Amino acid sequence: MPTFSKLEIARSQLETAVEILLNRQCLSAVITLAGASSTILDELVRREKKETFLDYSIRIREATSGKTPKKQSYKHHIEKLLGVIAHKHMAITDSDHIELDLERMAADVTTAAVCDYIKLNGQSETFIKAFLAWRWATTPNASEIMKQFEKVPHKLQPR
Amino acid sequence: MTSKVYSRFEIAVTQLEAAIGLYVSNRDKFSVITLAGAANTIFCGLLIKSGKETFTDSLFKERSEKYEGQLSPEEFRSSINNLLGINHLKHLDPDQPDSFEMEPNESALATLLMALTNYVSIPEHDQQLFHIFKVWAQINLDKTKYNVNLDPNWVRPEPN
Repeated sequence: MPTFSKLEIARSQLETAVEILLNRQCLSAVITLAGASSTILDELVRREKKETFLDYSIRIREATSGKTPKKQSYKHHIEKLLGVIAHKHMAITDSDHIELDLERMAADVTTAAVCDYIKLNGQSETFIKAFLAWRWATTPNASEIMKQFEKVPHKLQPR
Repeated sequence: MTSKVYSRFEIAVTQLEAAIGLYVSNRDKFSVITLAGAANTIFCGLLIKSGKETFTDSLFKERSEKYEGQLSPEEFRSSINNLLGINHLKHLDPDQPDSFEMEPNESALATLLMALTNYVSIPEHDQQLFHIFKVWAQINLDKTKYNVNLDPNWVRPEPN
């Protein structure tokens, strides 16, 4: 039976997610694929002793609220916020309908996965360049956001 | 960007359609398994909620004598997901190795068929989607390997 590395799998899922997103096809598929990829990439980045997207989010939360959220509960919170949970779970107590902003969620969950992917493989691959260019072009006031980001204190910058 | 209300069924169907689209165009099989697996989880949730049996539960019942005292229905469900690689494609725990063995083509087809079986058990399903995949399978899949005509008496031919 063939052997596959988890990085290879996460990369395939992410590349497919980016392609579907940029072709404006099924946003639910983008959320599920980028969400699955993100979970694998998080652990791979951790194994490289680098800061993951999740850890950075926790650090920001800590700095802005003074409270340190628990990793697992914050992961669940982010996955819920990004629509990942709604796309892969259905509990008996869940209602049959749910309100979602699929466009925002698909763009955001892909961004989270791409952040971790770049930590491992850089940003030279075509699908990563394409996503970054798309994100820049579709984010209102992108230049202004980056100007604001540059003013963020060094301790709050990603590591 | 605006929020809209979606039915869980609708969310699952779009994922299943995307999985079928990727599979029939011979694209990334890991993505097919991930999408069909996610759709299947929602279909199962909807079936359980409405008091109906899922495909895995009926399979467990069929083989209950074999598994009695060894596996619970939940463990059986989880073992099927592990066998198909569904869990491996969305998890990586700190104690797990960073590679694993699987047959993506076989797993993708099996996961799609499992999701489709649960999909057609839901009253709101569109028969057309199942029919399209069935016709595609009859034309494209190996008839000596797969029961493409869904014959209940089909027996896999012995290899030469």
